[in-house]
Amino acid sequence: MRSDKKPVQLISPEGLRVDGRRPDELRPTRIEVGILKNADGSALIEQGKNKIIVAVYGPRELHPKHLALPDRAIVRCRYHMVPFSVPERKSPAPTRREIELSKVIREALEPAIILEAFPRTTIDIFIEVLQADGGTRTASITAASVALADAGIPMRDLVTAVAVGKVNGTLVLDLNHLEDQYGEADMPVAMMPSLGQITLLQADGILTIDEFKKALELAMKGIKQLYEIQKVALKEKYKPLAQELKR
Amino acid sequence: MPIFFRSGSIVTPGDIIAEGSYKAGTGISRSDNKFMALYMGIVKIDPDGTINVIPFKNIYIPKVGDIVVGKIRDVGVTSWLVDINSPYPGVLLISEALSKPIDVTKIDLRDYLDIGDVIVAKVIEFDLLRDPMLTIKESRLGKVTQGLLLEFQPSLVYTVLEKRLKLIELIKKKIKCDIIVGKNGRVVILGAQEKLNQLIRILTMIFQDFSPGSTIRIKSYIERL
Repeated sequence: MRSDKKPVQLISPEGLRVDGRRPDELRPTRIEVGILKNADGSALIEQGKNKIIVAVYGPRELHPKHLALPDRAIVRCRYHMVPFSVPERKSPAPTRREIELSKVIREALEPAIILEAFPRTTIDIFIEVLQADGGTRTASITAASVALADAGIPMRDLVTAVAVGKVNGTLVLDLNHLEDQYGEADMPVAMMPSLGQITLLQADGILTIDEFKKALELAMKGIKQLYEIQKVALKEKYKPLAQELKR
Repeated sequence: MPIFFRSGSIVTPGDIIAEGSYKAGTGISRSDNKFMALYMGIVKIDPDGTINVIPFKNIYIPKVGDIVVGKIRDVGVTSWLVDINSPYPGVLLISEALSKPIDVTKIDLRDYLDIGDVIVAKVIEFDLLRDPMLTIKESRLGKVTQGLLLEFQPSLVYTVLEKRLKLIELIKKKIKCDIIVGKNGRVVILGAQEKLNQLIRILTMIFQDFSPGSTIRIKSYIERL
């Protein structure tokens, strides 16, 4: 079981973090596309100890109908943590935090989707966190945008997200639970990398203006790496089809 | 005017395919002079410089005049609701299905078309504000009582279809059967009992294979039928 106790040192004298990473290193990340047969699009992301499943349905008819917009589709998003995702059992009922994260994730994804193509419909995104170790909102965004692309929904760009923060005075990339809990600052960033536009920027803690600029640069560096992982994962799904066609 | 992805390469949403004076075809978003992919799919650049992305998977949006293959989803008092593999359900009114008016208080619409029945229909009205209206009152339209129903990605059917219509005609000539291709990705095969397996393989190739030289390969398959 995971220990939630504050470690003696978050950054070792050699400059390594609690899990042995360098400050500018991402956790090992794996994305798998199309893991759910029933959903129109789906993805699984494993980022360090995080494990999240995303299912996308739609665009589909919207019920209740009064929610429909005449000129575009709406996006509905549910972020949920399963009871066993954290060491202490989490009640399955949606908490204040989960409701807020659902909204935040939806607003990070909406700018990328061409909603005007599907008036009066809905796109439903379901995010289930199976195991949480800090940075689940960013991992959810990364996986959800891949699932949306897998569903064949037109998008201006993929959305990629990562958190940056300050731990013991050092700027670090992709915070885990301990660094999030005991660090001085935490700043999740979501971007459309090809367009160079930011769709989510939150910050908790204190950063100087100079630190903020450096942190944002660090985030962009991480996002670039994650963006490649997303693309490879998407192409991986269609490899068997491409190979079969070559026969 | 650099091209970053050649015809036939696989792109993901947001990939910049080319920069400069090209024309944006389907599946492309344009910002300034950059042409970016909207879908996960295959790049197709026409000789006149039109850039397209053929999506691996996309969503069928009805168009007036499209022939679609639908399944009856619900029977109403004066109309049927039809699943046409789209976010918008098709509506089939009595007046567009039967030649004579009937007394709806006496006759059950299920006697004509029941839930689960497959129909070949044509879209006669659609404007995104209201659901698409269908008709089956034309030749070759109506209820399908026998045959085999196949489902493909709608995007592949309507982008590939134009060029490969001839191949389907060739199949029809070669073996006695009828193939109805709905723009919504559904295909009905009538007849050809003994050669169904081969036919399914060939149709799959027609709608999914766009590697170089595929047309010739498919033709040779058809000739061997």
